[in-house]
Amino acid sequence: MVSHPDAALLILGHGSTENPDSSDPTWHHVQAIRKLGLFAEVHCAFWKEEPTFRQIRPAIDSREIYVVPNFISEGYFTQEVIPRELELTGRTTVFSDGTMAHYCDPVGIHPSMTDLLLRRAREIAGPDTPLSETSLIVAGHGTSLNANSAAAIRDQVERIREREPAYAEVLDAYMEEAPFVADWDRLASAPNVVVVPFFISDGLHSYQDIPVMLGIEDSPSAAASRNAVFRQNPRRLRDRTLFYSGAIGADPSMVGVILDQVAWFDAHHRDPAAALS
Amino acid sequence: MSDTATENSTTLRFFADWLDAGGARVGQIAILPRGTDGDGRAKYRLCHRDDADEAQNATPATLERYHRADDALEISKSNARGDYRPLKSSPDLRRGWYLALTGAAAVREALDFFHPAMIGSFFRHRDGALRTVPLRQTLERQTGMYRFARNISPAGAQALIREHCDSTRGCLKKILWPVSADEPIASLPPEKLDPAAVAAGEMPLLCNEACHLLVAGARLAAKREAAAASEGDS
Repeated sequence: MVSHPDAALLILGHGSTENPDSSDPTWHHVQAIRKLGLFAEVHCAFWKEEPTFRQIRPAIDSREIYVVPNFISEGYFTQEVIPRELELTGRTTVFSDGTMAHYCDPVGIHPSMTDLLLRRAREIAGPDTPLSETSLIVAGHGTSLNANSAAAIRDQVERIREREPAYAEVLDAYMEEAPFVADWDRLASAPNVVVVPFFISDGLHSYQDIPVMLGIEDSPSAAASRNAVFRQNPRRLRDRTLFYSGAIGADPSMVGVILDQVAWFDAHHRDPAAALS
Repeated sequence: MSDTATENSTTLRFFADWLDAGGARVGQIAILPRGTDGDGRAKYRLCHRDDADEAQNATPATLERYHRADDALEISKSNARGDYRPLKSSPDLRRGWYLALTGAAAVREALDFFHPAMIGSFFRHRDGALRTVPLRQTLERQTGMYRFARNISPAGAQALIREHCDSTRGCLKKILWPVSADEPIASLPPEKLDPAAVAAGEMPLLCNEACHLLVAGARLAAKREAAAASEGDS
């Protein structure tokens, strides 16, 4: 397991000024990684909540900082907003005060996300559901604003097909572009259908919008029903047996993916000549 | 946090010294010393400043007891009406609780949940190392949907700051940034801009750059101004 007892880990999330639950997974990951004692300090910062991307630097003592975006894909935030707000100039940035930041890839594109998706799908479907009679759908937002968002999901779908050929089929579907989540029963051919939302947190999309698209709910429901949405598996809907999971990013095992991104950085991007003196 | 972490963290050493010197308040949080435990470690109770009298009692009957630093995350999430608090320095921390902690490291951890990054910011400010960024510079940097925020007028910016940052209803932080290098904030009282204007034993909450809420507010205000101007033209 990766260990940097003299460095800080900084996990970055989007956060929300509207949804109180948006940043919960990121905070939980911070607390879990602090307990592991692998870094001198572990922090998080957000675009829309405190501590903000711009506030966090004075709170960090370490001279070396690993920055891991808790984002699903490469895109506007990882390529433009985060480098601008944190004043990052490349993979490794040495600031004028001599401190150094290593910019890791977003969690969603790490290969270990594939294992997490497979495990989550298996847990939701239960041991008695034959994979050969099950369609697995990885559901994402999909938008013209960020083509990479859908690309990250298509990559995962390809990897799952290679890793677990036992599923009848593995499909991608989106809220705002074709193939649409709302068409899940036409997209999937098997009698059992497992839907895993490829989102960082259980926000409005995973516990309100997608359940409506699937037909679980008639209309976007109050936050109070969020637990019920995920706990009532399976459901009989549209002549299928439907299993619906919470957002993949809320899984406690995301801690491992965050640490894997640090290890990936060390293995692929760390420049030994740029080590702190 | 371990003793090793205490030794390695300059911010924590600074905070422990501040506590020892009588540090007793951060934002709406009161820090009450409660003697030491069997190992000689200092014990504290944190509570809403308006509950400090009750929290001094051996067993505060009307306050809910918490004992983990990360309980602060949940306590500070919503106000007394249950409304979400995206800005941790809004002056509506709920009452009715106290948090029993042992050691400066646990108190610092809890305060970092109540008021993220504020201890580190005050430490750097005291050392003259906290960089401040004028509002115009923050707005000029924005891209995407927030790019339009830069169009806010000088008068609109002053009104926006008064509306969003006022300590009684907006934010408790002391503002360290000007609107621009030659345009100070004129719409708030001088003590709002003075980090030294705090009570004895109080650590000021410092704002070294406009937050996202202000940037988002600037965008809406700039759009209203543009709409009003185009109506005036037609």
